[in-house]
Amino acid sequence: MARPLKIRGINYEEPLGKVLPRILKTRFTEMMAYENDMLKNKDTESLHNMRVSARRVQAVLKIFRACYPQELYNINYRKLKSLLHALGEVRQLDVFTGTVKEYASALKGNEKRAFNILLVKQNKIRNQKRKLLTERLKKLNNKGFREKFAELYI
Amino acid sequence: MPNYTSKVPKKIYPVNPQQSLKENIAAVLPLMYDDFISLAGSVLSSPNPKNLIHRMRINGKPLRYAMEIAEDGFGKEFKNCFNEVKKMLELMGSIHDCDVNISELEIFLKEIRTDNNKDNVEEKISTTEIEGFINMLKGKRKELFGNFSDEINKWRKENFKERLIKSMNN
Repeated sequence: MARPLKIRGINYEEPLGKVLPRILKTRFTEMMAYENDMLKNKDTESLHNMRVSARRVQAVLKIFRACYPQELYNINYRKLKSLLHALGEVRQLDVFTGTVKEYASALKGNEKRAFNILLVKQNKIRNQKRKLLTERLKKLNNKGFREKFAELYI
Repeated sequence: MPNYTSKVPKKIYPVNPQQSLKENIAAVLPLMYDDFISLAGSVLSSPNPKNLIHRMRINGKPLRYAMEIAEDGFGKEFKNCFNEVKKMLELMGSIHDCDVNISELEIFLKEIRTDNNKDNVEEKISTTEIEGFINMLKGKRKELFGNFSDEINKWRKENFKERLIKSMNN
């Protein structure tokens, strides 16, 4: 799991109202920084890191909900939740596939047959879920997700 | 895609923008801990608490991430508490992975058996290895759950909540 970015210049004695924008901006920027690598689909780590980062953003919103205007909060929270869901669907498959591959690697010849069938099936489902994730991200970006979310910390 | 129109958190923690970050964290963390630990009794006493442990884990994540933000704001004992929360959630994550993997494999096993029972099947696929894998995962899950149970009881015995509160008062 990727370590979180240090929140620069954080002063624990400062009023929450002053510090919170910096916390949220750091967490959100960190999450979106994984987007390009995640879309390239070279490995499973960037997706995992983006999902963990998204959970960190979600946590900030959950904990400090009282500090945000309700409508702006609701709009952005729901969009974040939809992204988290799409990331989670793919991540769950990656974890399962990884476990299956590790177990099957110790098997020989015909013992692997059922696992090979399973992995082909899982790969097909993964491709479908990835497509949904990519579409979700595209839709969010087209509707100004970053700009709208930034209203929470500007 | 699922409808997210009703999926905002119901819980609102009593934070105050005028008070310091440190004061706010000290005020909400015990409440967040309560939200997390409140399901522990049900998880430990239920015969097959898959969904309960998952819900408990979901409740624990904001606690973990809140402590992460606060990590450098308090002393050594706070860091110790944070590490224990992280370890607990990682353990619950491993249990959840077992639950998901077992569930997926059981669905696949059922499909294989159904296909094997069809009249026109050329060559039946052996299910022995899948069954063995499921059994291995169930054993692993039992062990992990035992560890989780031990950790929760340890927290209860040493009053973890009190430790957490004290760690933020120094």
